[in-house]
Formats: sequence, C-alpha cells, structure tokens
Amino acid sequence: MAFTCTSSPPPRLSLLDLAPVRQGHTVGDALRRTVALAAHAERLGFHRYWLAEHHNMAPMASSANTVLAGAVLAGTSTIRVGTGSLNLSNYAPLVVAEQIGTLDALHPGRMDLGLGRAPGGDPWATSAIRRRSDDRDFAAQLAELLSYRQGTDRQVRAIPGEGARVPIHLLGSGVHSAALAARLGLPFTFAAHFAPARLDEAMALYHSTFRPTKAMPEPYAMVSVNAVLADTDEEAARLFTSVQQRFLFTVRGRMRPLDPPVDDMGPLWTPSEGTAVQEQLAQSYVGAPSTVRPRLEALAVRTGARELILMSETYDQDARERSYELIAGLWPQQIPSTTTTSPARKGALR
Amino acid sequence: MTKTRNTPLSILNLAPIRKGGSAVDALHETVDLARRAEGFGYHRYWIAEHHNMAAVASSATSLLIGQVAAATSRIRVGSGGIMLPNHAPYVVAEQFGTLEGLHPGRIDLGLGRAPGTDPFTARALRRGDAGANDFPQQVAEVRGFLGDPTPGQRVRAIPGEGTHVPLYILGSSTFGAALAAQEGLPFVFASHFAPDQLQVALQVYRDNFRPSEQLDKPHAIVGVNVVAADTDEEAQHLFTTLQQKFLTLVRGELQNLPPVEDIAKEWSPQEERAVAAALRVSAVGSPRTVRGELDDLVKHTSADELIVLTEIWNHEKRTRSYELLAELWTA
Repeated sequence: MAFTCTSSPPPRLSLLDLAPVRQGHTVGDALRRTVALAAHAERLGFHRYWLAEHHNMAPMASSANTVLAGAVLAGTSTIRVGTGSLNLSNYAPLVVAEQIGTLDALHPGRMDLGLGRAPGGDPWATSAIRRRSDDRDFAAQLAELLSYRQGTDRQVRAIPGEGARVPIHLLGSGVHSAALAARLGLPFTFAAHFAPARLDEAMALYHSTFRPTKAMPEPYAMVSVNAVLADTDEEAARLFTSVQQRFLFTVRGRMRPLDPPVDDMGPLWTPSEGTAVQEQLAQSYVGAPSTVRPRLEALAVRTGARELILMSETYDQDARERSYELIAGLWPQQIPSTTTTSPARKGALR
Repeated sequence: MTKTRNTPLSILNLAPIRKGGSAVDALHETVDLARRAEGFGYHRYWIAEHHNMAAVASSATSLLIGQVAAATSRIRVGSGGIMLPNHAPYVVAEQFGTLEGLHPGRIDLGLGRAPGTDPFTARALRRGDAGANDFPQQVAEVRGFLGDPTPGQRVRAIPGEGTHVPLYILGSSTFGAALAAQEGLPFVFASHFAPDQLQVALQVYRDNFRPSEQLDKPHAIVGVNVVAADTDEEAQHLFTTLQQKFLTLVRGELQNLPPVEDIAKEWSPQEERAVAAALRVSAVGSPRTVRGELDDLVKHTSADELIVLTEIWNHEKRTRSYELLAELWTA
C-alpha cells in the first residue's frame, strides 16, 4: 500500500517539547529554556511547536501545558503552537474551551489543540487532577468541548472560547486512537517517540478508515519520533545517551531529570534493560544530517506521514540548539498548502 | 495623608466586555492596561475569575495571568482570585508553579470561595460536591503542593513544589478574614462590591492573625472603585458605566454600558439604593477629590494596600484614570 509517491513534497517538520528538567538545574530553568527554544525554532522555520502534558514526573516540567503554550505563543509571532497532547479526560471541557479561547483571542490562528486519551500521569496524580471521574468516552467529551466552541450549549457559554478557530488533533500510540481519529475525521499524530510498536499498523488503519468531513476532506497524519542530530554520527550518539539514561531510570521505576551524556551505555544497563530501552526508543533518528535524512524520508513514505514532529532532547543546551538547526536544514520547508488544519501563513517559512 | 502615599496601589481587572464588543478586545485591553500600569508604577495587577458571563472575559484566569506576565517585566501579576471550589488544588499548583518558573518572584495566587455560580456552569466545571465549606482544606492542599516536598510524598506538583508562591485570601465576610488570620496570609477584602462587613472583617483579621512563614504581621488589602478624571463632573459621568453594571446585575444580567447623561432616569429609588450600597467604597472625581476619598479610606481601615478597580467604557479614559491616580500617589 503506497500512501505517497516519491514526487510528494517532503514532510513538514515540527517539534515536540516535554520541557525536560536537567540534573543540577531547576524546573524553572526548563520552562524558560522551552520558551527560548521555541523562539529559536521559529527563526529556523519549523511549522509547529507542541508541548506535552505529564504530571508528577521529575524529568518533565510541562504539566500545565496550556499555560506553557501561552508563554510560547507570547514569546513567538508566527510559528504554530499547541498541546501535544492535552489529556481531555483530565479536565472539564468548559475549562479547556475557555483556556483555548483566551489564547486564540490573543494569538489568533496560531494555536493547535492536540488531544490525547492517556492520563499523562500515575494513578495518584490522576486522582489529584480529576476531582470527579468522568466516565464518558472521549467522543462525548470532545462533543461537549465542540458545543462550547460552536456556542450550541444554551445554558453554559465559554467566554472567551465561542468561535475560536483552533484545529483539533488527536494523538495516540495505539490502533484505537488511530481508528477514532479516522472516524471523527481528525488529523492524527502517532506518538512513536516512546511507544513505537504499533506505528505502521495504526497509520495504515487511520488512512484506510478515514471518514472525510467538509473541514477535513483528506486524512492528515503525523508521526512523533526522537531525533538528535549533530555534526558527526559519533557526537549525536553520545548526546543521545542522555535520553537513553532517562528511559533506563524510567524502566527501573525511578524517574530522574536528564543526565549528562556518557561515552558508553554498556556499563549502565543490564542486557535486558538495554533491550527494553531500545525497544521504546526504536523510533529514534540519531546522527549526522546525511545519516538521518534518508531514514526520515523513508519513515514518511512508509507511514504516509505528511508531517514529522520531532523530539530533540540533549543535556547540553547549545547541542540542543544545534540539533534543531540541523533538523531544520534536512530539507527545504514547504510553504504550507491551505488546509483547514494548517492555515497558510506568511513569513514563518523559508 | 502622609500614610496614604506609602500605601501600595494595585489593580484588579475583570476584563470587562463592552455591550456589543468582543472578548478579544477585552483581552487585548487587559494586556495593554497591564503594560501601562507597570509604567505608572502600580504594585500588582490581578485578574479575577468569572464563568458564563457575557460581560466578563476573565474565565481562564491563570492563562490570562501568563499573557500579562509575558507582556510586562516588573509588576507583580496574580489572581484576584482563583475560585478554588472550581478547580483541583493540584492543577492550580501546577499552573501557578509554571507561572512562577517562567516569571520568578512576580506571581501571586489570590484564592476565593466561588460565590455559587449557576448550577449549569457548576456542573460544566465539574464542581461536584466540593463547596465553600471545603475551602480551608483546599487552601491547605494548594499550600502543601507549593511548599517543600515531604518524604514519601506520593503526588508532587512539577512545576510547583518548593516555589512558595505567595497566597492571598480573598473574602467579603469574617469567614475569609478568620481563615487568612489563622493561616498567617494576607487578606483581601472585596469592598469594591460587597462593603458591608469591611470593618468587622478587618478587625477579626487583625485580632486573630498568627504569623506564618510567608507573613509576620497582618497585611490587609482593601478593594476600592476609582474613577478619576480632570473634573468631578466628568468622573461622575464616567462612573455611570459602573453604576449601570450593578443596576443590570440587580436586574438579572450584568452588562457593561456606555455612560449616560442622567443616571436618575435609569433606575428606581429602590434600585438606586441597592447600587449605592454595593458601590459605597468608591472614589470618584477629580484627582483632588479622589485623593481626599482615598485618604479617608486608608485612615478608616488602616489598609496596608489598596487594590483598585476602574471600569470605564472607553479604554483610553480608563487608562487615564489609572494614570491620574498614580500621579497623585507619587506627587
């Protein structure tokens, strides 16, 4: 099954940021760093900058990701900014509608609302977030959210929020999310950066079962993967050991902030731990641009992804900026076609 | 009079939407006013929380605080207040921890008991059974998440923990006053719309205050409506917007309306009395008049700080009122 042909334009390039907290640095440092990196990404011509949602996890500062998205919007002027994802079952849809409405009012047409179904935290954190359990399924919660945006609820209005034109994306790491996005006619992002096992299956299902709507006549698929680029393969591999260590400690059940890179992971993990980490990080693109470029092109062709959203974490901040630069230089960024998910903009793209 | 000039001046903004205007304009004006208030030298700029009200754009308070903080660089920015029964304390801690991380040392977290919104909105906010009676417990939870982590703590606010974002208790009764006193927190009295218990609440607050890590002596902030203009007549004319706001509230649906020439034609004597009672703590007039009114207010309340609401139909005139007030404070 061919989703694209070689003459297709290359996939758009976007960035996903978990606001990683580094060993020896504060959570506040991580937040301010994310705002600065987003401005850097805008100058480099990236299409979107999305912020993840995680709770009760020491290595990640992006728990209040709508607040952080607001800071990134205020610190940039053209790049699209969004949640990737916001876990809808954690919040009252009215609150989400009001938040998105506030950001869209002040930064019109630049916000994406990426929604997920996972809680983004452990059971204790989840019960602290959700004061009441909402047993309805995602589609019902989404319908309530849309009713505020459309102003169809006569008794409760989202002010601001009514009329906000914020594209909704669905994110997931399984076939169920892919099928749901297809059924609802939404853009779909597969989170392969930490759970790649069902990537090909989910992408095929999304494309084959997509139900067109007036707003979305064609499917729009994105894949999130890890990408750490440096001037040489060796340097990139070394930088990537920070992420490998983070996953190693997560496997061991003791999450900790991002560690500096090491020369060799071998002494740090047992063979079975190494296997487990490498399975989770199977969708990682690490190396010099000439090494990574053909692999990412092949990924897009194989999965039919129109856009790649890359997570590029390093301990060293200059190296992270350099990685962003090298990713941006992988291929020329297209001027976006006018689709409902990604309105054409001027000035952001080279 | 000398004491008045040392009393810090702050701003409370509801992000009012003009009748026939848009929430977008209201939000842009909220950010613009903050920038200019910082230039005028105001101490804090706080945003309120209201839902499902066509005339108020400040529903996503923490998000709007973030936008104001990003557009300014020195002024303190905060909530006046987060209505805690509407939210999970953990989520509030994460949001304000994020704001504090982005803008270190500039963020305030004012907390209030939601004044019972309509049942439909309460349901949409998933308020559940959490009500005003749980307020002290919810305040303690927020404070715990923003404090230093304790051994074995299962749920941590990241960002949030260890930030010690300063808390403020908002109230219009002795309940809030007693809670603020017991917890050793600053107390903000909503005398700008509910002045009845102002004196007794301040008394309760000061008599019962117990020092805390955050605060070693009482800090009472008093809410006041101010409309300053070049002349008393002009200020009284501009004030009719706020008078009509309370009039329409009394009648069932709050609206922000342009000023009128003769407010007496708009209301019945009974309505006039109700509005006047609600707006009793207001300073309206030329700079000279406003100064006298505020000197009296500080004298009678011993307020440690005034938090000022100025609602004027025209954005430039509203901003000018804040500028005039700041000028008399620094003159």
